[in-house]
Amino acid sequence: MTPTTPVLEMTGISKRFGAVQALTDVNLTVHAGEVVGLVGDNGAGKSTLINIISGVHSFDEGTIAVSGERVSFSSPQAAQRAGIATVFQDLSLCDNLDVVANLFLGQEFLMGGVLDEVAMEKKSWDLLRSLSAKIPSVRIPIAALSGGQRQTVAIARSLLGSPALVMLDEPTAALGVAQTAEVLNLIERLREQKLGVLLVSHSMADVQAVCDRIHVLRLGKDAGDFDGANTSTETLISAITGASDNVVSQRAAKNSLAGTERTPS
Amino acid sequence: MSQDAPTKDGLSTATFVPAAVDERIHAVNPVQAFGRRIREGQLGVLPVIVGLVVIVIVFQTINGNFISPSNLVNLSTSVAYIGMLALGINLVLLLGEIDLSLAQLGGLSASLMGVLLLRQGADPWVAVLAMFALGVGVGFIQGWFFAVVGIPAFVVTLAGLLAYSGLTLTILGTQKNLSVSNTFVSDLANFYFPETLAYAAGALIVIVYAGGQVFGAMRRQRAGLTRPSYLGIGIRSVLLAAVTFGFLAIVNQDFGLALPFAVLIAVAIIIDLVLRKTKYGRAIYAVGGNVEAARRSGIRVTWVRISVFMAAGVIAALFGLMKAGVTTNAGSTLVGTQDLLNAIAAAVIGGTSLFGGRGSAWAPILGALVVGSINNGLYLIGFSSDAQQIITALVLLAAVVLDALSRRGQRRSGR
Repeated sequence: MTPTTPVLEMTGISKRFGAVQALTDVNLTVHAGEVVGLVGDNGAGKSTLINIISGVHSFDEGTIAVSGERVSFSSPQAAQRAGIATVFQDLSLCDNLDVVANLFLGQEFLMGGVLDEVAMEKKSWDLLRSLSAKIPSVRIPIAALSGGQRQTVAIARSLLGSPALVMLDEPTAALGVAQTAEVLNLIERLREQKLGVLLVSHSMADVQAVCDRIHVLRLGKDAGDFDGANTSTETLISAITGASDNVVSQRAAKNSLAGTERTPS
Repeated sequence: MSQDAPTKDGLSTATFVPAAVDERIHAVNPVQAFGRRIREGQLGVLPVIVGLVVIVIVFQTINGNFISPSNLVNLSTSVAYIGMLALGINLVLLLGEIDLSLAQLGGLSASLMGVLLLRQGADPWVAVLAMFALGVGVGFIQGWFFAVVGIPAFVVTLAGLLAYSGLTLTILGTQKNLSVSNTFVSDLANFYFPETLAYAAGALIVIVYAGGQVFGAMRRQRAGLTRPSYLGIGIRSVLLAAVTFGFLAIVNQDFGLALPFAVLIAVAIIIDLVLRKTKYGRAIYAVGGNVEAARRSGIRVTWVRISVFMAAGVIAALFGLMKAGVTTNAGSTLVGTQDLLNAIAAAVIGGTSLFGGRGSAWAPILGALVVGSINNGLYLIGFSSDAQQIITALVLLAAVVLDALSRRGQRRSGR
């Protein structure tokens, strides 16, 4: 990949909840201008990893470096300040507020102690245009927007703090075909803007469509890094489910053509 | 992205066409757009203003005294205290919560003030300060139980409602009646502004409103954003001026502009500015809309909740002072459940949602005008107070149904 320092480098991350070893020795890197998919079955540790990256949970062992600098977050706000923006699955938008109010919620522009609506609206248009977003008006409540448009607003809001890495949690879940395509376009535009993108998704098709690299988690451990464009769905699914771990499939793999798998161990 | 989106009909007069217009969004004619806004309940204050005009016309045709100067002065003072309590409840409703105790809290603070003033011989300032301290303190305690302990506001304030009516009786002792006539309280409630001062204040409001609108439009134009049309600003300013000066001209034929009504308008203006123009106001709407999103945005949800209950407590004390002055009573009969219901009705009729996050500072004022006009008009026609209560209840029910329907309308149209 690129020789630059990665925007996110996690090495040897382990996390234990009581008797449950949620993550064991997980290594994950994301470079600037790279879209990395994070996939795994339910219970594979995806949510734990997301929560660690976004600063919700702490981790027991390992190191996290953002743009080469070693960090440890105590809160989501600290992660944000360090340059990691998270778009949660529920989007965290207020339906009753308009697009501008949602974009700047908690970080409003002020002019003499009073909200500077003009400056915020101008910045909103700039931001949405840089994403080629299709929003009819920035002065309508979020309740009046479609699912794809809401996702757009949530992603646009994550860009306000000029982050180095944007993490998207299931951005295409519950979206229609056209809206999913819009969101995937948006992810590609984030890549063009030289941001690191970590895409967490259940949808193999979406992950394969946009990701440069796909990182698979299984039972809290790394189960391989795959090339985004040239990996078949079967290979991914067998890595996710661990179907390649048993003797039968290992024999089958030995006899068939070698896959594109690049397992770390 | 093309800058010049199609502008085929007269609708697209906007000077600024955003680059990213969704091709699926079709221009609709004003009639269609209006129909859609009716279904989705996005008409703002229009329905309540239409309702108010209908109410005025109906009562005026049945009884010619309705818009008479003396009745309008009378109406303005009763609207003042209904509206004041409604302003307090409105703030709590914006959070998506309810405060059932505010009317009783107003009664308790008025009785406390009356006892201090008349039976303990305290200084008027001390008495008034004590009642506002009570309002803030009780608001803080109720807000703390709700926001920190996590008890539903409904339960906390229902307990408050019972406790404060009991406390009122305790404070009053054996003599439950307490008249505050011929004290500063009734003097304040019966203060009327001189004609010229009232007109000057009205002119100031209209000029500041129009000036602010024009200034805002100019700033938006300089920044390259769509600006509201100057014609629209002109029409709204003229309407505001007509209503303001029409009202002042009529009441000035009688006693004039009453202090309680002026205070109501002043408090509403302050609350309106806080809600629309400050970070704090934005935080109130955010908490009412989506608590989790507000928390993740770094808004201190607990503090916003407690402070809103405190503000509502202060407003409740002001309501107690006003109603005690207008009715010259600070005894146990000062407030009743109908005060609370009138105030909730006023806020909801004016367009504030019971589900939180939607509404404005003007909703309770418009709603109080509706509720006050209905009560006053029915009284003029000769209806009993029982009938007044039933009709107010029906209007409240209609307003809540409208609120629920508009939410459903928004969901049905895929929004």
